[in-house]
Amino acid sequence: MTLAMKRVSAIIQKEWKDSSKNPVLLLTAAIPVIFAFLFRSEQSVGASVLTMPMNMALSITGAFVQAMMVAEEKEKHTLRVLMLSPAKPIEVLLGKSAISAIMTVSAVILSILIANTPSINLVSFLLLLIPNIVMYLALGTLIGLMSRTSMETSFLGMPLLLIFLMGPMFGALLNSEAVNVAIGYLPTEQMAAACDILWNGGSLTDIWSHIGVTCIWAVASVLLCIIVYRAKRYDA
Amino acid sequence: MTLKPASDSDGLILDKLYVTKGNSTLLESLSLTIRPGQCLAVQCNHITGSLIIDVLMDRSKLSAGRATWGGQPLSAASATSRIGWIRQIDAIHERLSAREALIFYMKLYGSFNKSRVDQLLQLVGLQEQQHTPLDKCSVSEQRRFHLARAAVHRPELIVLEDPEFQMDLESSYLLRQWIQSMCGEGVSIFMTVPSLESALTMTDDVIRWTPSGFKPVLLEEEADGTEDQNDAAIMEPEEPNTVYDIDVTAPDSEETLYDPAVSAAQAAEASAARNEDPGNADEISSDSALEDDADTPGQRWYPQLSFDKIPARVEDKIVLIDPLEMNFIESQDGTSQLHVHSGMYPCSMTLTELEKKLKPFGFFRCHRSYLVNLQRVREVIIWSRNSYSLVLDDEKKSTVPLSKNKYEEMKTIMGIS
Repeated sequence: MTLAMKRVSAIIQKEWKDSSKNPVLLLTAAIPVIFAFLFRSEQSVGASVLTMPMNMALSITGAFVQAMMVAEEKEKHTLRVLMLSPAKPIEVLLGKSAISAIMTVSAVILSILIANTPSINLVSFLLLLIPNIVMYLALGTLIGLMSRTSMETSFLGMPLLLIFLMGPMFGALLNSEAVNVAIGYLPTEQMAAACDILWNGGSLTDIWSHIGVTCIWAVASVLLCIIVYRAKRYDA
Repeated sequence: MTLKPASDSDGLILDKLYVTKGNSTLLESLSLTIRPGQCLAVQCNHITGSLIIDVLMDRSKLSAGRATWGGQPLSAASATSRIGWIRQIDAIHERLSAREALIFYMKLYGSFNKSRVDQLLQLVGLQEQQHTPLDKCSVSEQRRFHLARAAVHRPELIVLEDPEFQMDLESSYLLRQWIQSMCGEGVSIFMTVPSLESALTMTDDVIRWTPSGFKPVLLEEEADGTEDQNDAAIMEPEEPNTVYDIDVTAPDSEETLYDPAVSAAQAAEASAARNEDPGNADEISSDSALEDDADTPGQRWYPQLSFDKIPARVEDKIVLIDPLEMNFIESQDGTSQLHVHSGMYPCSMTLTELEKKLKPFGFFRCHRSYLVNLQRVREVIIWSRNSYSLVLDDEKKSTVPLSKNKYEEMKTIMGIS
């Protein structure tokens, strides 16, 4: 077990060095922060100053960075060489998830700072954030596993991005009750609603339902990720 | 599981590996044993070579036979930390530098050791580029990185596919150093090499793939072999070192040193001196470019010279080949292969007989299995203190191995000090 931990930490160190030299990856990770600055100028909107950049931080930094890292290792065939060492594919994925998680958390923290957030209930915010991160990392791994090259991740990930981020904006135009209900259950909408409550001084009890829905999303995406991982062997 | 005694299960044992696909046999009955610290090369074409390694990695299925390392299959989980693999094309983490990547692999094996990193970087000559991202390194340097990468965890066995692939001259030189130092650490090396000549300069244990199966390359005259070792012990260590310095610092000087005109003249002198036939020397320089037909007996001073042609068998005909037409002669499975401009002809004479007959023509026994036409030698490559190659000036730029004690002898013949 300790050996496995050592290997994971070696992979984390390597991913850290690797991603810090990858301009595409860094740019992708930085997009939400740039948007956070852009949104700040519109002062009037209240909590949406925070929720939009934060949802972007989670979906773009979390999912896409993870997907790119997972797919690149496969695209460049470096995984084959790694598989000749005692490292296991699951350890490689864990190491990559750790780096994406770190990047996502820093993007979220930066968006919070940039948005001039009033003091919010930190415990409830963390409880909201953790299932979100798990979900997006699982989705990112899923996209990475399904695409053959890192270019393909943007192709496969775009629908997800459109539905999650743009869904709430364009859903209202459709004027359909069913669509509106469905959109209300999107993790981004849950996140936005919960943040709104927290922004206005709400407490943990007020956002339980939102955390619950997000947890269901998280469990579902992790399960889906495991199924795809079994079906498409990462190391093949 | 192991039917053999325990002492037998040390090292790498391939027992009658056999791979068939459909009706065709892809790999036929390959058996070999590698002891710790031994380097063994299998000379075969690229496809067979990668098939053998795929089989060892358990990526291709064996039809019969088995391959074991210390009594276990090589793909066993417990074996991963004891074996280093280098395929012909291995991917690299492009953005990591050689040093970072080596440290990463070391940590994966849980055996981080800073001095080992430095030692390996020096061994493969990447010390200066150790902080350069690997995708900025040349292909040869990347191949050399893999040499170091496969050795980070002090494996007991290194499996190497086509070691000289995409390697420049300097890298090939470092490769030989690497092989020696790995064997010195007690590592067994198994490699597949497409070219027999380079295999012979890398190791003494070579198994050849022939149409009739895998055959060990029998170095002729075993008695000669023991003599070799005696000679090596007597040989002064100073001399090869100085030559090696020249080789590294001024590779150009070597070419001028072995300028064909100079070497031809020297060889001609040497052969003339031994033959006591002044006409022969003239003939060597004048006739070498001419066709066989032009070499009529009428032009010769002595009629018995017509016997100098070497009979070779082509299907059911016997072709007589002029000695000067031949670039080098190779001994394969007991028959001599005459390499001439247009191809290769088998000859029924043994290499020793041919050597005796061809010595007056400037032929030189540069290796137990090779007889080379000295006038054709363009370059001498010094890989290490005891491995050398001759590069010929024919169209293919053939290389011929040169044994260490023969190198001394050749230096005297050629008048190189």
